Amino acid sequence: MKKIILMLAVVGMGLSVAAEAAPKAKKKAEAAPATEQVAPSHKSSARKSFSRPYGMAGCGLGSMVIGKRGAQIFAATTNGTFANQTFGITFGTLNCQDSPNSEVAMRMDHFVAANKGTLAADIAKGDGEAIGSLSTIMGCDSASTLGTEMQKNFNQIFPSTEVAPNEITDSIISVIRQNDSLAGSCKKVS
Amino acid sequence: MRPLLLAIIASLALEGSASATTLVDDRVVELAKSQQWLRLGHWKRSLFGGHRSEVVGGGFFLAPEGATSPVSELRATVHAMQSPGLHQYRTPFEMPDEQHPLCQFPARFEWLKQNHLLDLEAVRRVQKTIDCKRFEDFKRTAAAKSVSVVFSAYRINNPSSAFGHSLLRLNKGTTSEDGEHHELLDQGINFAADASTSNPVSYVFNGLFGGFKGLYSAVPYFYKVREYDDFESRDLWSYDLGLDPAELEMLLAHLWELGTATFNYFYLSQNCSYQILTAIEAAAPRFSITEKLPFYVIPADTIRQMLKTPGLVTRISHRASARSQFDALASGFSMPEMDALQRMVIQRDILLPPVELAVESRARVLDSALGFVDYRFPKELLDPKSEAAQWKQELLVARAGLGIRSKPVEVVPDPRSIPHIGHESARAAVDFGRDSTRGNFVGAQMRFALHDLVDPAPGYPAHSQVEFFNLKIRAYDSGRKPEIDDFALIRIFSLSPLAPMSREKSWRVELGARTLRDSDCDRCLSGFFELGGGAAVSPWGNSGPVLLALGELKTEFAPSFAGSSIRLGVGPSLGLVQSAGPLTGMIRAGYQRRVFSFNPHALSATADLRWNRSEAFALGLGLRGWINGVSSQPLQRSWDGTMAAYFYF
Repeated sequence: MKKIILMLAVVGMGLSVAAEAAPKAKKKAEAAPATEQVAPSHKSSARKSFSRPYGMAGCGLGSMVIGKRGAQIFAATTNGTFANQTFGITFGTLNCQDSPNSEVAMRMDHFVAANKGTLAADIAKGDGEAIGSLSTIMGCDSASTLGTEMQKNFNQIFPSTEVAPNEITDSIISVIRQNDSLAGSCKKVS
Repeated sequence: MRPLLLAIIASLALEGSASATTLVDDRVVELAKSQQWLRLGHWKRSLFGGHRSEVVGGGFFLAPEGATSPVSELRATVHAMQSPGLHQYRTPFEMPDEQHPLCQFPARFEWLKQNHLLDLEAVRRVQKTIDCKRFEDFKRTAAAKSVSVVFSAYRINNPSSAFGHSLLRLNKGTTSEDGEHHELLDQGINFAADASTSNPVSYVFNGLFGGFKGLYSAVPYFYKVREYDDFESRDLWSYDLGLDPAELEMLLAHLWELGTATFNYFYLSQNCSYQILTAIEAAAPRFSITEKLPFYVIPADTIRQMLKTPGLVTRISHRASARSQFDALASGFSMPEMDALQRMVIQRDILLPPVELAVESRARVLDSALGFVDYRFPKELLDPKSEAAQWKQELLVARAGLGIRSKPVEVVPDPRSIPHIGHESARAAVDFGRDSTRGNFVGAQMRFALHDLVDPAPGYPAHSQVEFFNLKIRAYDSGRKPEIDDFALIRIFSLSPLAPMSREKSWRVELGARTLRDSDCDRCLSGFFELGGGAAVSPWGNSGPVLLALGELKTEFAPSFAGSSIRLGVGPSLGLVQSAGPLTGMIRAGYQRRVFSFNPHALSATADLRWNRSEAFALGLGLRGWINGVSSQPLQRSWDGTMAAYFYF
């Protein structure tokens, strides 16, 4: 009797957690090479690229997001996390702080990389939380003007599905600088 | 470590007069017993007297025996904060690191100051030589004005999420939704297992017995939103905490300290929800939350416990998942809009909404088609070359081309999905009844967690059952001692009624042991593992009955089976679930064709009726019947009936 229950206990927990195990283990494996993955993800663009304090090396977050097609970020489930030195426990060691200078472009990269799908939908709709958040990062006075203007220029910002986060950031800043009222409104990028 | 201890002893011996040292040390011994110090070091009273910290590694302790001695740790902390030396340690990831204790332990520093344990002149001299830039950066990045506990609701089709998950969010606004505050820009603080194995068996053992390390990490909240809301279709609930500015400051400082701590992760007890509560308690000692929890911790229980703690939760808010937003948007559609949406995403015979529709209608249809692609193909969308990604791009370009702005979708949360209003996780029951072959019985039932299909519905996802450790014992008039009638270690049943936009399967899985009633092994206890998959429909709408049909595979195991010790069965089953006010009923019947058995044909049926009087109490009626047959012999029939009173606690 004891044996049966013990056996069942083990298999049962296996069931309840096995679903998690595989993707998580995969993440762990992918976590390490993530840092090396960052360089190819920052595509050079024919358009002017706005400067980032980290150059091509990137800080932890950016490299996490873009590593291995970005999959590992999202594969996480309930109680697991990916053990990544650049991302985990090292509070405050990411080179990513709020400061009103060229780091804004970097913050935008991080935000765009993780929220690309939502941002694309919000820009297509001309409104949404992702636009509001970007508006805050760029110090814009009006998220609604920003939304309308980005919607008009959707094809410039998201020309294809393969556009890289830094290209999206650059396009958004370009759109703002092309528009007189926005250029005056979004103080941190103009 | 050891030189540090020697240094402490030496300094205690040399500094000042002997009597002054004794006096200070008396205070240290006294204060080391104080509640907040014990909470800051996560010490718990151990079984054999004394203390043991739940922190097991990293650089969290300054004294070599700090994990078991709050007094030694306090002595070492007092000394180290007044000395210029850096603390060298290994991070939870086994990386070498160093910080000055004033920088590494800002919450302890604040507490020591408040309790006048430090020579502030000495501390000032040390502070001139050090720079706590990393901690200052952490605080500056978080820019926290308030803090919330975030709970990700259950997602039944992902069994590992069935118990929910919680994390902390450091809000840049004073509430989670004020003014220009955008929670996507907030900092999340997550406690999770560093699960470093691909082997499911090792995963199970480690998860159950604390073999994984539990770690805190600082994660931009938007990662968590994308992960839970978008990728897993789980609504997020935020519970703003009523901490005053000093407590908030203390919490940030303590979370920073926890960045260098390693815990053991216990899936069922010292898990995410438990640990973030201990961090809150350490920062705000006026709250005692975890001591009222049972030894196993279900995340939703911690939320209910928080709400029972006066003054802790000041505000509750809800973030709808991509799936919930889609459902809310589509539910307001006109017939032509619905028709266009279905043709676009189900039949796939048109790419864009027909131009006859008004431009506002086309925008709504495109918005919901985008929502559909998002929640239906989250994995595919990660690959920009996938068909789903290309499809979405076409929809996006079309939507942007319409040039009008969409209003935000108002989502009213389904009351069944509000985690804090549900019945408690644990359930006990007493019952009595009659068995056709064994006579009258009385019984008792105990279930650790969580919810079955006829339990009170509010607060739990509809048509979903997740049970962990459900034991039913009985004592028959005719028998001498109580016996196990039924034991389910895990029982998951997910019903997803088919709808035009949803083609999810219905399925069940069960693992446990039960007393059999057939001639293979009459009244013996048999282990079982059952799987079922199929479909459910609710043809008369959401409030009507749900009908289900499954194909089932059952494996049973008992050493005392007459033939081999394992028998297998396969066959169909049908069922019906219906609620009407406080009454919920469920009927299921199935046929099994068995192999390795003297009963190759088996029919079984169960009927349950539950009268849910409140969230804490219910009455139930149950009937079960079995017919087993061998071709050459008469059929064996048996049944039992039960009346039960259920208590949720």
